[in-house]
Amino acid sequence: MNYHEEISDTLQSIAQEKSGWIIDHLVDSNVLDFEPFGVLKLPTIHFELFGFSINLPITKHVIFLWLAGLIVSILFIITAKSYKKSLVPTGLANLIEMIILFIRDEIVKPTIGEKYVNTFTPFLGTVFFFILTCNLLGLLPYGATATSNISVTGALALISFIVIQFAGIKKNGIIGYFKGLIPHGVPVFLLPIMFVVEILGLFTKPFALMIRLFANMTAGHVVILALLGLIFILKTPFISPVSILFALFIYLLELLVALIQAYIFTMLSSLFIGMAIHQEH
Amino acid sequence: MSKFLNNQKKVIEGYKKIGPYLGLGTQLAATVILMVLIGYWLDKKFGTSPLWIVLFSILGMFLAIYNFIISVLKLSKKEKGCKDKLNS
Repeated sequence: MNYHEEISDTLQSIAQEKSGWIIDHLVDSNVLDFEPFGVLKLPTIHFELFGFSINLPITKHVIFLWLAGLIVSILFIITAKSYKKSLVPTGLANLIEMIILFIRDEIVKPTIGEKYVNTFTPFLGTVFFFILTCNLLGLLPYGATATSNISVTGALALISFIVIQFAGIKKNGIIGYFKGLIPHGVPVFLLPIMFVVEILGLFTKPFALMIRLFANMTAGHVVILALLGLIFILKTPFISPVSILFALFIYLLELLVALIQAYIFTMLSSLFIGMAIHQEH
Repeated sequence: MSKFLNNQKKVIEGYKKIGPYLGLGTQLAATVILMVLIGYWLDKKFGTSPLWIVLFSILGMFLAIYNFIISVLKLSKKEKGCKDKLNS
């Protein structure tokens, strides 16, 4: 028994030495590290609510979420101000108008329908820009990807889940919406239990959205760090040209993935909203 | 640019077609897991160890596969309808 524990301890320490630093870079932590210059400790807020004492730590990912929110706000304030000067957009405003027009005409219009374009474009546009900014912030030096934290993607998926259900209920009415979930031609004695299965089906779609964004953003960073880690694990400088070239290649791929994942999240949310509104198809 | 937009239209059309079936696999797994958990909970509550968990897991598997088959049959019916429309 003792022998067994010793072996597992040794294995654990080896694993810590060799790959612990990859996980350290990915998971949430209480410090912002600026490696050669030292670290910045972040505070934890304590307060009492309804008799529960709550610890609310401000973590690395929270800081980067705020930063992303700030950047998106500033970007859109600048854009809105530029329209006051003249209605012909230039520079930054032109780029943002192009992306928003793309979301409106190529994503929302074909999936939800022309009638609902102005209702859902603001939400889906916000989701797109916010996720894109979060993804790109993770690619900066000293940055952290907030979207590689499953709680963040879970919250985003929860928001789009609520929007999907509200859109469906508002169009079809509460009874009509839940009636439309059950497929035709189900025997009567199976109806209540099929209803439970279909309710479960409502949750699986946003769940898949959550996992998709989380896994894609985590995987790219693991690959980059592992390729750079090869230099230190093999302890030879001759591997460095290969691993740096590969890491650079994966980094460029990550730029593409950041854009694609933001697009996929927006497009699938839009598709699910459309499916909730037009149930008969 | 126009080629890209055309491609985008095709992608959206494709996703619209597969939309109802995107959650099918997860739903199949989730149904079985939920039913097994309900059975486990009932067993713990009444102390009738293997009875409810067996019943509910069988029910879960049956329901999951039944739901799956109904969804897939609807797909093939829809395709047939489209083909009939095209032929006539």
